[in-house]
Amino acid sequence: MHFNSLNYVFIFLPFVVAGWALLRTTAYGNLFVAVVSLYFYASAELWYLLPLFATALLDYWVGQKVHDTKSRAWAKRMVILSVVANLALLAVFKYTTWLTTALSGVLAPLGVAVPVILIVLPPAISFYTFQSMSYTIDIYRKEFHPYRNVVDYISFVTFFPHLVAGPIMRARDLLPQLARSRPLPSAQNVSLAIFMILFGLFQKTVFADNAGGLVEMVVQLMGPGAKTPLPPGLGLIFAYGFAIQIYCDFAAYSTIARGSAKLLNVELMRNFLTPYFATGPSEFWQRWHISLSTWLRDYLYIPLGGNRGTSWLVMRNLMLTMLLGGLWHGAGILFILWGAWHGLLLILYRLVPIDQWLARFGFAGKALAAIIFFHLVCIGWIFFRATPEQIGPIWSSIIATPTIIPDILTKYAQYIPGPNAGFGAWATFIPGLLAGLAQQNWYLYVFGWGLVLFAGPVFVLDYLGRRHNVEFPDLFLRMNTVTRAVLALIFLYGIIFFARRQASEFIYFAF
Amino acid sequence: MNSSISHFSWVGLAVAGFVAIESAVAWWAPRPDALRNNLLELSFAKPELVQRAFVFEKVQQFDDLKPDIIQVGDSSGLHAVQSPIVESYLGGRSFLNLSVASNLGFEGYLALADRMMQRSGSVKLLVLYFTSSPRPALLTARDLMGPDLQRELVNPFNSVFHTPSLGLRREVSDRVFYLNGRLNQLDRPLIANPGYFMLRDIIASSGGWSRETDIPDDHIVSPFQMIRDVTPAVAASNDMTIVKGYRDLFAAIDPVTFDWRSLSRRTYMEIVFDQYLALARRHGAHLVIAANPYPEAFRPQENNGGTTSRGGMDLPEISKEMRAYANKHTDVSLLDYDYWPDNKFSVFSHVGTPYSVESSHRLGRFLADIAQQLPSSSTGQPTYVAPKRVVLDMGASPTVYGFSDAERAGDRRFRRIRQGRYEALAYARVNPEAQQELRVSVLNAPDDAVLRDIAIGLYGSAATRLPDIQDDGKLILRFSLPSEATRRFGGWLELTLSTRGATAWQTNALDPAATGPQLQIERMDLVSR
Repeated sequence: MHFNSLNYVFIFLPFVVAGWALLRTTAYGNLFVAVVSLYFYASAELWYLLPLFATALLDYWVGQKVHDTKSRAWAKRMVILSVVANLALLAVFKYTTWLTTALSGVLAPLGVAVPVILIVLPPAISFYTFQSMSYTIDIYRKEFHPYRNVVDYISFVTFFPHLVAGPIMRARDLLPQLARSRPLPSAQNVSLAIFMILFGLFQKTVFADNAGGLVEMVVQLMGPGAKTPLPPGLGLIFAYGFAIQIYCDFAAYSTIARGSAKLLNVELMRNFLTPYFATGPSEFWQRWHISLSTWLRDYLYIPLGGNRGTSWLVMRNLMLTMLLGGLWHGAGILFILWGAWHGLLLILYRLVPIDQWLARFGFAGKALAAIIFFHLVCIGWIFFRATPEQIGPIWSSIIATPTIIPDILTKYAQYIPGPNAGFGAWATFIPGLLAGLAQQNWYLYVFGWGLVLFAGPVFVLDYLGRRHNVEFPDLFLRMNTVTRAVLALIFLYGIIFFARRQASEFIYFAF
Repeated sequence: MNSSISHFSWVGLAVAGFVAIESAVAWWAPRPDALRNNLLELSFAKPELVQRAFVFEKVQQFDDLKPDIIQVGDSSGLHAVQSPIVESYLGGRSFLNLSVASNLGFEGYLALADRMMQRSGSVKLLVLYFTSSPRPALLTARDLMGPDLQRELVNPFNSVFHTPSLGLRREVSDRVFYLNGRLNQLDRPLIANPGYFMLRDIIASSGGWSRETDIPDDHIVSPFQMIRDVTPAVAASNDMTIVKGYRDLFAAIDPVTFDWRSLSRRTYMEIVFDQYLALARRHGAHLVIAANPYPEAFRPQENNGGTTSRGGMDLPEISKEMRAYANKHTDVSLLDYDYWPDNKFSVFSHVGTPYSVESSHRLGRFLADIAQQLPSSSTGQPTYVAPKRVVLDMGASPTVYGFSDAERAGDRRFRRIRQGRYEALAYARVNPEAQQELRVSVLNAPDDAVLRDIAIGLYGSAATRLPDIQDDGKLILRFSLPSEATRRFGGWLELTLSTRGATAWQTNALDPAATGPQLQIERMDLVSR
């Protein structure tokens, strides 16, 4: 089931909230939440439950054993079992097809036939394996203790608001909230939750899906196998468009997830915090997919040594962490390259702190640093979204962008007014030149307008949030009644008139 | 308590604003129900899926009619059944062709039928017209439009969300996305497909029929080429691979599945037919299952006492199952498939345009007896009222068949019968009670012999040549149309324009080796006298 469906908003969610409100003080409250979460997850395919239960039950059992044993060596063995089993499950589902396809391609010229094994990836497997793994690791580290009630544990792993695409919650943050008998949420929280869900739907269906449409159109222009060269500038539309799509898509999911959880009086962690205003990579990763970046920090980067040791060791740790972060996102060389790119940026900014240097120039310097880093992030998004054959045409188009102005000036050279020409001549020439510019670069002109429509408001709303170091929906608590109502109507009519109808799945469902 | 309620005052204010806006729209700018849905994607700068646009046009055009008989199904019916011809067999009952395309799936056809039967309350006969058999690929494939159509056209839960303002969606998005046309022709994002504009121009007068446009050269190379032409993905494969690839799609014998509704093992065909029969029974209607003809190339070959299916389809087995179903139910009739010569098809599932008259007669003849037993038409409303003057703009309208593509010469827009063609067809609907004159505006004035031999035929009857006239320097050829021919199908006309005196479509009219005159036509006017 999708958050952005009428069934979720008007049937599933009200039913779940009402059911939980009725049962919350009984022993069946969490059982009810677990059952509806399983329905939410597996209503499309029942077999999705098999790997989910395998992970959840194994880690539940390992958690007990690790806690109960007096031997650290035995506890270590058990936690290794948990980590290996989770990673193996992830590897089988996520990487088998990619690896066998790659091997088949490499070995075919040598006459070795490797069968390609096609495995369907269950949604959310990357999320729930990481989450479940952190439970056993935290118990091993004695940072958390196991919960004995299996229903509580299952409801933690499967809690529907965050099951499919995060935030990746630690057991220590979520399990205690679920295991206790919670009071009903306050009126203020319910009010905020409704606003968050409405804003999330608006952000997803209007900004993310329409920006995704621009990306699809650019891909379509490249034709099958990306054999058609892209006109100058459209590579930028691809990069900017996808930057907006993936941010709004994922942030919207997180906002709806947080809003839905609030209705059950559960707090989920913030996953985004105006990331495109970050001035450097460290700040970016404190603001982008925060639950994953902190997970990688706590369970990978710090165990690898973190900031301790020589510069070389730190850089190695950074690169390894980001490479694995890339691989977590998907099976493919371009995901690894995306991770490597961010690893390189972290290292580069550590060696040459551009952001700190620019920050000395005040607001303008910070703005410039943010613009520079946004473009570096966009370069990474090209690897994330494009197929290998699309990379060339996209880059050629980006590189050719500066030729647009000289090209049009060359074409219109004969009409350029002379040195003694009066205002009238220029008043005729300039509009003609602009009209010619638009005609010669029609796709760029139209898609550029699309970016203004679908990206412009995103930056404005994020800027408003950034001023208070929150996300835009969090400003709800500072708004008066009329502002809230007007915004609600804007979101509602934005959805009615401009939401894309056919695009629906959230991108991170695929991870 | 009051404090708790105050947290929701913004919700109350927003709801009040919403109600006020919707009431204002409903009062001052109401739009038809057909526009109040999410059928069209209307994405920014993205062409609409052509079949989705077809559905939209048919719903918009026919939503308020009250036909006696409707036909739903895939594109075989869209291109094969001209409603006015079928109506000529029905003793005054009206017939509407709501067939669209196979990517609606059987669930999608059912949604269209359901909507029309619910809204009109007049349908007494439901025709399910298709090629090949109901199979998993047409029931469960993820990219089928069926669930969308069910949701947007008939689902009562979703209709609650079809607010008055939703009817303004296209106008508002055009203004914002394209600055009211400054950034684009407003029609272009709807669909960049000539077939769409052709369908939009003609379906009102043809009762839902539209000419075939898949194959530009209008003739078949081989039966397997027909399959290749409709599926570019397998175009590079050799014949046997294509057949193998299509075996799943055109399953020889329908696979059996477990039907959760009846808790029994059944074929997909039975499940689909049962859904249509249930809909027909809910409205007290009779169900006709009608199969499009197949090309001869698909006839099973007999060898050593057995038969070998061709094209991956075991047609006798499919036929057997359909007959068994029809025999089991008294309120179901079956028009089984038959084999037609290959040259009457453009692709294996579409009869070529010149032969859609014949396939319309085929269905009309079959329905005639069943229609006799139906109660007489409750509405007597015509589905189309022809204007006094019908203009076939040769530069814009693609409703003609057999011409080359529209061309531009300076400001002149015209079509021409190019080399290798001798005949062209044009379609229009006129007032059947008035004497009609056809005026053909000729642009290139070929030599006297060609002008002399130009003939117009209506279903084989010759139009009478009237003296030519000059209008603003242009040559106008005039023809008086025989009134018995214009009356025959309620004013619906298929005009055969021949450069060699023929009054009916010739099988060699598209001889690729021939050379012929390049007659250029700017427009044709049908004027009631």
